[in-house]
Parts: sequence; C-alpha cells; structure tokens
Amino acid sequence: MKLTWTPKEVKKMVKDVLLERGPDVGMFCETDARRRLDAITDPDTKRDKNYRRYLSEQILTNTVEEDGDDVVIRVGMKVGKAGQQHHGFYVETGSSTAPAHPFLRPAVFQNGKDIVGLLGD
Amino acid sequence: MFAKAVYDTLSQDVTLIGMLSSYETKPAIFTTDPAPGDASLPYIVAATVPVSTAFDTKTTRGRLVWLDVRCYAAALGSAKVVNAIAERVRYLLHRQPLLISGHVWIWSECTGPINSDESDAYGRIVTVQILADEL
Repeated sequence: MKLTWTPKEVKKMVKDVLLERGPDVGMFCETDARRRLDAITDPDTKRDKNYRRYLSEQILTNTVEEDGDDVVIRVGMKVGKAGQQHHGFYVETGSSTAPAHPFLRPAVFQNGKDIVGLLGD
Repeated sequence: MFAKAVYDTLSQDVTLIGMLSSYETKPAIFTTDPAPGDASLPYIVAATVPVSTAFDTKTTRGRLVWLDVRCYAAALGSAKVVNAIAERVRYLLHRQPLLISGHVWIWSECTGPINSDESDAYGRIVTVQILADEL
C-alpha cells in the first residue's frame, strides 16, 4: 500500500481541532484569571474594589480567531467604555506606589499543562 | 531567592547605581512591593513573580521563574533617565548568569522594556525569565 503525506490536510485537521477546542481553553484561562482577580484585596478603597469588579464582571473576556495558519486565543480586557485599551494593566504590573497583582499571565503560563491537555492529545 | 539574585546583580553595577537614588545608604533597588513610601525616584522594584513553574525531569528538579523589574523615574518631560535605567537592567540580566541560593543557573532571558508611565513617574518594566536547577 502506498502512503501519501498530505501536509495541507494535516494542517487543516489540526487547525480545525484547535478552533473547536480553543473556546474551552479561552474560557478556562478567563475563569482562572477572574478567580485571581476576585481574590485581590488591596488596595481596599471603594474605588479600587469597584474598578476590579468592573474588570472582572464587565470586560474580562476571551476570543478565539483564525489568523492565517494560526489559531489565536486571547484572554484579557475588552476596550473600555471610554475607549481605554489598557484596563487592568496597573493591577497586573503594579505602579510606583501600588503593588502588583498578576492575574492574567499566571492564568496562562501557570496552566500550561492543562491548556495543552484541553487542546488535545 | 530569585529576587535576591537579581538584586545582587543590579546592586553591584556601578553604572546602574549611579543612575538611581539611594535609600538608607543603599541603592534604591527594592525587593518589596511597593517601594517604601519615603523612597525617592529614580528607583527599581524587583519583587513581582507573575509566573513560577516547575522545570523537572526524571532525575532533576528545577524552576522557571519570571520576575518583573520595574524601573521608575520622575516625570519631568523626558524619559531619558528611565530608558537608560531599563536598558542597563536588561543589559545586566539578559542571558547573564546569576548566583541563586540553592540553585544552578541555566538560562535567563529578558523581555521589554515596556512602557508603564504614570502621571508623576515614568515607568519601564523589564521581565526576566530565569531557569534554574535545584542543587
């Protein structure tokens, strides 16, 4: 029997699988990021609490998109109500006066094995 | 221990120290987050570990650690100082060996600097990824 290597078909099959399972990975990371964000307790001013609640409940999201041969899964914040594109940045990285509370990067990079497991065998 | 290793490397560099303020007679490099309230700019905060994962094999145990090195200088209309500090930090840490207590350094790589400006301070963040085996 003659075997034929068909890389285009293999790539398409892999891409289809990634597109099918990507939303599960995106939701998994988003949920973990939200859990981490909700666990932050300082600064504990009303303004800071409301801001974190806004991030967690309103604009934390995930998307799965095709980009050429790639499947891109993004977890992060939507553009804010007033067009802001960097919501949550200073929560994640801290500032000159406020401590950092990373919640997005750990949600992805601490979960590498689980993400690979969700994407398939 | 990873933050301490980074602190030791940064605090021994005369060029970098020359660009920073001092705090209690030492260079203003902090491994606490945030920096003390009475610290004066420019300073560095090297305390945040956003990612720490195991790097084990069948016969060895190791860790991959990310550390954010945040550089701040006063917002006086020019980012020259903070850029110079951040580039020096990157120069000192990118693919440079570290002495890490209880570990053998394998590899380090920096990403950034990325912009983290505020109204009163210009900020740059260099993230260093450090891979080390346990002794």
